[in-house]
Amino acid sequence: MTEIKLTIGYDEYEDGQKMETLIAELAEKPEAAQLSSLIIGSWGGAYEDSSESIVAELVRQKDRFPALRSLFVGDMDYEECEVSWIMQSNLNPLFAAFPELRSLTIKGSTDLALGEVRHAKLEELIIICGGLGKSVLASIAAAELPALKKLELYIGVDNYGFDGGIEDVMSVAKPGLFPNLTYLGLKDSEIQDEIAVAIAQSDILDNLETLDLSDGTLSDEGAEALLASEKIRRLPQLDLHYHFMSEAMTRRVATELPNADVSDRQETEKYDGEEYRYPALTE
Amino acid sequence: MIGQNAGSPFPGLPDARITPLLLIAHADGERTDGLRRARLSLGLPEPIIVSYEQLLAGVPLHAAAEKAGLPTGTAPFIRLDAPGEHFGVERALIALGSPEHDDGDSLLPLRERRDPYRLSEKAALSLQEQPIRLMHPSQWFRGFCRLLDRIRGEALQAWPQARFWHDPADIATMFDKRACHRHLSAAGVKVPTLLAEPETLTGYEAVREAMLGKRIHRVFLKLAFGSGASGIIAYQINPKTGAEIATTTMGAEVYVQRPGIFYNSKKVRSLTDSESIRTLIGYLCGHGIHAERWIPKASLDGRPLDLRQLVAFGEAGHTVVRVGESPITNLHLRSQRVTPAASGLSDEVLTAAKNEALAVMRAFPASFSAGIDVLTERHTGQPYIADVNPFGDLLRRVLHDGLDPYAWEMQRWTESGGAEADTDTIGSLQGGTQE
Repeated sequence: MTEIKLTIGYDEYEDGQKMETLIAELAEKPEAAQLSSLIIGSWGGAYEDSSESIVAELVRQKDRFPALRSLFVGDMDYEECEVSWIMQSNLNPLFAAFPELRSLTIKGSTDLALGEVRHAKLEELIIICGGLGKSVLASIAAAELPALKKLELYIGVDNYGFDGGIEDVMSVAKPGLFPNLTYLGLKDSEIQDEIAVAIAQSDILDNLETLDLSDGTLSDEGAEALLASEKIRRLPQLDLHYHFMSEAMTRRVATELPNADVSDRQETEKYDGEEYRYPALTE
Repeated sequence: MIGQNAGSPFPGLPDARITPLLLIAHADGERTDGLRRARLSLGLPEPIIVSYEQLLAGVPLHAAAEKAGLPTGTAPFIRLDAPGEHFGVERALIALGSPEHDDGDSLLPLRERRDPYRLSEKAALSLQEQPIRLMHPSQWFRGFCRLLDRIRGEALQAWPQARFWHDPADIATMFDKRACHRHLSAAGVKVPTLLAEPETLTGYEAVREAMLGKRIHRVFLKLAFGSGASGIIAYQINPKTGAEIATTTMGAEVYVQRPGIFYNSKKVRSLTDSESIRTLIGYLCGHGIHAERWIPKASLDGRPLDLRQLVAFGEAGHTVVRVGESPITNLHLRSQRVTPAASGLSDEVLTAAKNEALAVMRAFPASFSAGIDVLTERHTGQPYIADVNPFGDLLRRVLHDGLDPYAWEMQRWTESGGAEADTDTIGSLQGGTQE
């Protein structure tokens, strides 16, 4: 496997360098033919300039990357750009341009659109963001991804773009929608308890190897629903790390669900009689 | 051993084996203990300790030193240590910075600025300890510079040949992030681009205007004389949406009738509402703000890191890599320390960081050690100097050449001092003092 990460640093961006140029230059190099994994890092000023022209360039150069199986658009952290400020775009053209792709990771959800998703071979779809819009959730709920094994979605908070409700989240977890799905992550959510309650008895769990409800605001309420489910008890892996369960509940879950990861317990903040819990990526 | 001192780059540096070390510090505490232990471990006499409290109570330096055991007429090597973490001293320094003691402030950088809400000496002396509260930092610094000036004057009067470990004027410059950035920049040391001259940053609007005008949308705003994470805001504005985020440990309680209370909490928060951000930035601008570009730092497992590099007598010693949970990597409580080898930084990057730290000390030829905070840009590995702390040698549980920082510094002094004396003189003097 060969992997390349392209990044535009701050100075390069101010000097007028563009990610599109880096992609075009890479396409001209002999190693492009063997490249199996391409990571698009910060394109500089990602809070101002969207990924639109990057997507266009990738599509234009698609034939130069015949071996490409894994693509990451937007691999950057808060030292470069706040995740909730990363300007994405309509990534739909990538699905048709790279029919051999197995894994697509997207970071940032501002202006993100996926359109009508159809891809015969994609096995992994991961969206890391501060808040996922319901239009993107709807695209995934209507997607044709027969090979999909792993779906990992950061649901996030309304401040950062999550404008849906529990129905929107659960629409991507319909049993049978992705017949080969073995990893489902509906995580980093401010309605993590609702998600836990809604999924606890779902038939989708019968085929899963991992259910990932980590990084969100899971509390005792959601944990009770999980404990009450035979399907959850049969799961090989349950990722609950970063949660707001009480100490007693954390111990109970650890005992009764030995396959659960209950590390990184958070304390609920109390202020003026209100309780505050924040998902991991939005603090 | 003695022969290698010939041609020492530190002419006039006293010989460590025959020169008493006069330590101006807190009478007890981790730093003083560490230094005392280090000297004993190397067979050097105990330091002669004069406390900040004594000096601030009005005792003249030479009287305090002689009372502490300095032989009359002997010129000591004078080392100051950190005056912080001692409320009585902090309060006395704020009192010394009061209008009653106005004297021209010859060591105070940017002295034409006025401090906000100046406290009278009486008001300063009636301050009560509030652990996380920021107590009038600009008046504190004014008082500290006055004390530095007094120590310098009294020392040179009592012992005309006395030398300082850190020139008091250098301490003032290093402590003032605005003056230090200016000094290093002029010396060709790599520092993050200045957002704007501090005089022009009069408040929230001016800061934002500078950021938008220069397209520096991500900055570190620092209280000019804070230490550690105190008074630091990682601030960014989104030119497209107008959104803003201030990541900081600072907080404020605002009142209509009187100045607000500002404090450093232990937790890093991200503020997005303009009013809170305006309040905090306004406070920094009032007391003295240093604003520089936010350098995207190298990271380890997705967490940003920086380096604390100790330099003493022209050599780089202990290196500590601090891995943060937030952009503010030097937050003591939340940062994790790793060894350089475990930091993921290449040897080239680590060497470049060391070299930049050495360049810092060459810009302060009258001072012999500092703990220097170095950022490494994540794509190029280019080191940038973020902070120079003359007292930045309290580094726990880290050894260099098998020595803790204090012992290593004392050894460096032993190796570097006494260049002007020839071998025979040193031998005889040494013999004389070992009685």
